[in-house]
Amino acid sequence: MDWGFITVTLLDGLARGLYYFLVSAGLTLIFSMMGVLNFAHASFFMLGGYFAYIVAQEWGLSFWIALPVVPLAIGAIGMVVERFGLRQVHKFGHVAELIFTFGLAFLIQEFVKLVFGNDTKPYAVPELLKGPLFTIGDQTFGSYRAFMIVVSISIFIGLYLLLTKTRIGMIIQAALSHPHTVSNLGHNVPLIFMAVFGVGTALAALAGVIALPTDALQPGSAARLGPIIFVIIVMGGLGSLNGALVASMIIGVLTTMFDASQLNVITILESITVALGIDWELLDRPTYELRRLMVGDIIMMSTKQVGSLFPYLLMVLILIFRPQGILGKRET
Amino acid sequence: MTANTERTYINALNIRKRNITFQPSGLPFGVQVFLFVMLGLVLVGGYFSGGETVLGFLPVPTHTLLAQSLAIILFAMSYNMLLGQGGMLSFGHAVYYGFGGYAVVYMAYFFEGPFGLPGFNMAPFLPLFGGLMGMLLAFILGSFSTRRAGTVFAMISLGLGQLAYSSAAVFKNFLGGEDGKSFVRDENPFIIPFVGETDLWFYKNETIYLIIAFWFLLAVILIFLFSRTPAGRLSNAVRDNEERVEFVGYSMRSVRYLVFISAGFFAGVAGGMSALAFESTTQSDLSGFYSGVALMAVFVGGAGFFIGPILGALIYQFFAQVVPSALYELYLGVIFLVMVMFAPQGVAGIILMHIAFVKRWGRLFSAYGLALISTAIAVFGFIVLAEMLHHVQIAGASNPNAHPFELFSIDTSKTINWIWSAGVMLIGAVGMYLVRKQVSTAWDEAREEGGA
Repeated sequence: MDWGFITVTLLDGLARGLYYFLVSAGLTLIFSMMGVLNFAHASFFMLGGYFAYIVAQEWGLSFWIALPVVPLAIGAIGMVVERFGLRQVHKFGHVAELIFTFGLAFLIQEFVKLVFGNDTKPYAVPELLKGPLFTIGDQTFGSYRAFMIVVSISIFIGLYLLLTKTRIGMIIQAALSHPHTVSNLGHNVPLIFMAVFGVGTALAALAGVIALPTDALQPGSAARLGPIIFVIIVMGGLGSLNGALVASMIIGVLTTMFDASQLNVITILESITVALGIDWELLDRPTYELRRLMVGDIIMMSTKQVGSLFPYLLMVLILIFRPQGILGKRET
Repeated sequence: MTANTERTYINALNIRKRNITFQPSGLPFGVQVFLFVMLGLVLVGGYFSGGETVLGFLPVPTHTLLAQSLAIILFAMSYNMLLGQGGMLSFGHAVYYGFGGYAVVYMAYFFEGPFGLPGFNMAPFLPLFGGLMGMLLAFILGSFSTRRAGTVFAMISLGLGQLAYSSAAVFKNFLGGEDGKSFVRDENPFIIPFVGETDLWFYKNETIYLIIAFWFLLAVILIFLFSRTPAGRLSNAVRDNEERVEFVGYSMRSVRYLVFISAGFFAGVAGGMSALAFESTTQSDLSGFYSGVALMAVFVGGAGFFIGPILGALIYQFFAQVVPSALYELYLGVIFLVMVMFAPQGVAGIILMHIAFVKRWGRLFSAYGLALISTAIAVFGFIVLAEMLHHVQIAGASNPNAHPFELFSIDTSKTINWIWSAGVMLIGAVGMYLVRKQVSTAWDEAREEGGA
């Protein structure tokens, strides 16, 4: 293990965890507001990526224009969805809302397939942020990931200050816990809900704009990210913003580490035998037959594959043993 | 939002249903038996007419397609046991379907081949075996996931579904990755003990269809009977008010667990049927998308009604197999969302609502006619627009002529075609908005008895 690899992987994981947080922050805000898990949240993330692709690539405008404009546009779409879709279903209860957002997610995916096609869109990093920021050994850390970290952290600080230090934030916090009282005090609670839903989707869209150059932009993006985001907010505790931050970091760093290292039992065994000075050929042949059998699935399971399974396993275990999550107070 | 409104939504017709005598459970015993005999006759009819036309013009799907449809209907019915009867919203029901399928593939692979008994053929019993394996998995996974209903149950089922789906990709030797696992049906005829060989050969799709139809009929009768047992009634009570059930002295958890295991069994049977028909099970059989298909079929058909999932699954199959468009998923999604927002009782609910309440049908005609016309206009505009978009996406500039449903041709390079189709869609939508009020007045009038 060299320190360059560890540092760069940790920083990459931090960048990934922070954009996970941008998405899950909106989702967890919406959950604490309406008590509904928005299945379509990751779809707004994906729409953010596609809109940025149109603005920056197809219209030839700059990435720097897409960065503020696209989240605003998606936020407006989110508000329309809340006003004319979710509010319509709200009277039927949470299960109905969950089913509605599920249908919406399905529809957005089909819509994206229809308009943009199935192929992965080439969505490049802006000129200014190309190239590495620094190099340790043979490991490079891209300046674009540093940019992602900076944007995410400033959004988090801004959101934190907005919610705790301003009058609007106070009203929102009050509306989350005591909507009827706030309504009796003369505030327009449905408007607050709509605004929070808009801000949540705008955050997801912002994450889409900044994250999708480092990821593949395709109609499956939402379906890939969605479950991970659910894992994060369940793990952090539903409705807890701080919990979402902690869980995003954990999941982001762990998945990045699993992805970056391609270890499995065989490669570990090989490096041990080489380190002990034993000829690998002696072990290679007998284990070769073993690998082709069903046991081979487990023996050859690489850390990357473990990384694709463990978030869901973690989520199921947390829901069984600690349904309120790491920092959450309420059970769902 | 109280817990109560949540449950009434799942069974939106709960209050109204008390008046409905047209549900199967409300029909006289003789009529119920008659209906199941009719179902059996239809299934046998499928055996003789699969892949041909009946009455000279009506095409009947091939035996494999019929068998697949039966599997999907049964899958939707088992999902209805969860969502409609027990009030559990699952996003991972396909896990039990796929697991039953994989179990059947392995069973067939080993016991038709190296470990097979001479003179004995496994094939007729494979769907049952798939069901038992689905039941076993539901027994294990349900032991912790059914502790709570609502959002927690939905999230656990989502997590388990994703876990199973990713596992299929990771365990390549065992579950075969994306391609899944397959086997080959053997070539022996069906041997009835003490009677001898019959003309039913197992490699033929007709024989397999007959086996599947038999298990399907049995499963449908069992599901119907289950809904009439005290346990089935209790599951409805847990759906509608779990606190009260607990208060009366029943454990809502064990009721949910029981329903979950039964649903797992029937999902496994359905998976086994599909595996037998296609001689394979793939990763997509475990996927969240496939769980979503069950959710859509049940919801569009009518959650909580016995006939609901059957109608819903047939609607799904109609779109998936008959509609000549690559965009059938989009159309299904639109229908699903519209139903969730405006008609949560589903197609079956709408039909039963009319049978039960409408006293004066004449009042409905003009308003429904107008609604139908404006909906048709909007749908036509939407379809033309969507097909044009799809065409541009696929063919691009090389061939500007789109063919919606292969019915007519439209030049996508002309702006005027885009404008008129969008205009038609808008006009239809405005018409639907305007006719809204008339439909609700007509509905109120039609319900009242006697003169105005």
